[in-house]
Amino acid sequence: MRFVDEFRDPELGQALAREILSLVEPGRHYKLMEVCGGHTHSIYKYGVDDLLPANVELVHGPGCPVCVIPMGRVDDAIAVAQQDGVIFTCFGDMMRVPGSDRSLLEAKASGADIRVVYSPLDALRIAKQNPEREVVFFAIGFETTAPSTALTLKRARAENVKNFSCLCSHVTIVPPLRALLESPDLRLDGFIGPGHVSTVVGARPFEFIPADYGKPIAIAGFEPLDILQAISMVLRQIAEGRCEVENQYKRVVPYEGNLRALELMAEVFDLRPHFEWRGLGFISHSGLKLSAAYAELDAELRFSVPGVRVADPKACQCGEVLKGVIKPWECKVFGTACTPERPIGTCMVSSEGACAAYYNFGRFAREREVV
Amino acid sequence: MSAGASADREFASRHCITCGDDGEPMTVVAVDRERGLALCSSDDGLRATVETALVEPVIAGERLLVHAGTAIARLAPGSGAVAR
Repeated sequence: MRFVDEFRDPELGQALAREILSLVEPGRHYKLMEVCGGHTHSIYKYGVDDLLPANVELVHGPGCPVCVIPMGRVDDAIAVAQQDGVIFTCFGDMMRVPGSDRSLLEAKASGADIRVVYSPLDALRIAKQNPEREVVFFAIGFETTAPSTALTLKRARAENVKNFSCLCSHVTIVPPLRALLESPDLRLDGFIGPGHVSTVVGARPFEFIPADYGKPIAIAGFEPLDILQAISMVLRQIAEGRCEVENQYKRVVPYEGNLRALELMAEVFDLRPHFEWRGLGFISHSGLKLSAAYAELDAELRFSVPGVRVADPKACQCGEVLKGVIKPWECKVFGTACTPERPIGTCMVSSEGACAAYYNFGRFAREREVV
Repeated sequence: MSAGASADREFASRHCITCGDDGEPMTVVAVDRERGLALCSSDDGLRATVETALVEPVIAGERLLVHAGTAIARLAPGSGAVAR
């Protein structure tokens, strides 16, 4: 396939694997976190970890916005969706995320008008096609997705679409990374940085990782060779005693990010004082809400939203998986009570969730032999 | 692309828009400069209306990285492999 084959070339992959092997010290264990769910998916889809020495361990981070949505927030969404006259719109993967009582998919089966959209613009289109109904868009995602929501809100205001609003659950990437770095039960040697979040925010926001915590990071693309090269870059930094932000994904990510997107986000959103993350608890300044200028489009102000915190199911160890403390297959319910068809935890819902990635690509349990 | 068709497409692709930090390379087919939109075509021929405000100005034939219906970056010619 044009443009793609060169990023999946087996010989180049083997060469990178040899380079990685040459960079690691025998007897030393390296723990690298890939922040982004897209990387987790690619790693297991292409078997990237099979090319790594056994003493290089990849830990799967919290970069899946579906996986980090707490149950109480799903309950809020369902409460809005069930109100009279509402058409509730969301991305597909949110449909199966369990709330305390049911998922959006089950609420839809019970009669709520819930529709899957591919973009916020689709939701706005539904609003314009149904002026007698209230159309709510459930906005989730990191800084990659937030500009898309912001543009749609701006368009809704410019076009005076009164029956459109947004239940904003956007999150930001830096606060959870800082929380992980502060976590006493997790010792990491470096990071594979998120590719498309960085398209928007740039590489600069990650400078605190080497500056404050002394850990190297390489922002990576999503093809197998991208990931292998980023791993090699991080290991080379460690080997050479360097510690900085490197950008493997220069063909897409500018160091300063997309300034227009950042300005737009600053106009449309404000930081929440705190936001709850599944498994990570409340993290300060980690969630976005609509700014005062866009309050008229805020579904939390337009509708009654319970806002009740709900504890995660006891059997579910998503929190430990999200922090990289355990591997998915070490969870008590992985692949038995919790499967992609009937998920208990969010990590099994999204195909980018670490548990679903392990399950779908047959990684039920595995330990690599030490070389 | 209609909302229904795009939803079918998302289910078919077996990965979600937001979680995957996903971006899709698309080629601009036609530009509606006044509305800040462009008709774009993916490499497998699917067409979609895309917000272009973050990367304007765009011209027909240009390659964009599209996420959730919004172009978030302009791609250099030949840099197709950005998503899974």
